[in-house]
Amino acid sequence: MVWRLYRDLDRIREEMNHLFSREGMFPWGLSQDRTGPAVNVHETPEEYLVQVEAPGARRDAFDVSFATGFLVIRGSYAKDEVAGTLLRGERPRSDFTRTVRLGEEIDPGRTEATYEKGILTVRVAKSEKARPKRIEVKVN
Amino acid sequence: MDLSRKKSSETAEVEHTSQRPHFVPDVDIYETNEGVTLLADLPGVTKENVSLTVEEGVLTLTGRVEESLPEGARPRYRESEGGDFYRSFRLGREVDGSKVEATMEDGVLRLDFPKTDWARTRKIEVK
Repeated sequence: MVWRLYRDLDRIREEMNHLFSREGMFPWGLSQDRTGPAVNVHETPEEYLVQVEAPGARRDAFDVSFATGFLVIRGSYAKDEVAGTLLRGERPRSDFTRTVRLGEEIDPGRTEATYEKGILTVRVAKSEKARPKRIEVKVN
Repeated sequence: MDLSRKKSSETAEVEHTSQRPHFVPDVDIYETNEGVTLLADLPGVTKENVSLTVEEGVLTLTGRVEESLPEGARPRYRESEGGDFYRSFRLGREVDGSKVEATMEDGVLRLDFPKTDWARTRKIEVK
C-alpha cells in the first residue's frame, strides 16, 4: 500500500533527525549494536542512570558488567508461553547486547541494577572527585 | 536502527487531546485452540495504567507511562522519547471481545480472547 511507504519514509527521516540531534550524539555511548532495546542515559550530580527498555526479558539472564570504561548490558527474552500459531510477530525476541560509554569518573564498585515494568535501570555512582563540590569563597 | 517505535498519529483513527506523544506498541498475535492471544510490549507501564475498551468490534489499548527518574536527572542520551502507548485493533467475528482475560508482567500485556460460539466447531448428533 502506497500510504504505508510514505509513513515509513517519514519515520526514517524522523529517526535520522533524532540521531543527529544534540541528545543523540557521541560521546554518550552511540554503540555499533543499535539494533536492540532502546537505551536512555540520565545524569544526576551523584550518578548515571542507564535505562534499557526490554519488556518480557528474563530477569535471571541479565549480565551487567564493565569492560575498559564501557558498561556492557546483555540480556535475553523469556519464551512466551503460548501454544498456538504466530499470526503477527513484531516484538523483538533475540538476545541483545548494548554498550554505553559513561566516562572515567565513575565508581563501578557502586553500581545497582533493578528490573521493573520491563525496564532495566542501572545506576552507576560517580567517583568522589567527579561530584560537584561547593567551594566557599570568603569575602573579606 | 530501531524503527519499531512508530508514532500512533499514523495509525490511529482518533485524535488525541493530550500533548504527550503516543507510540504504537509492538504486538505478537497468536491463534490458539481456545481463541486468540495478543502480547503487547508496554515498557514502563503497570497494570493500573493500562486501559482496554472493546466497542463495536474494535479493541482499543492505552498504556500510560510514569517516568520514574529521580528529581533533577538530566537527560544525556535518549533513544526513546517518553510518552504513552496507544493502539487499536479490529476484532473478527471469531473472537469474543467481551470475555477477554488480561494479565500484565514485566511490561508485557497479555490478552487472551476466547472464540465466539459462532466460531466453535460443534458436533451435531444425528438421531
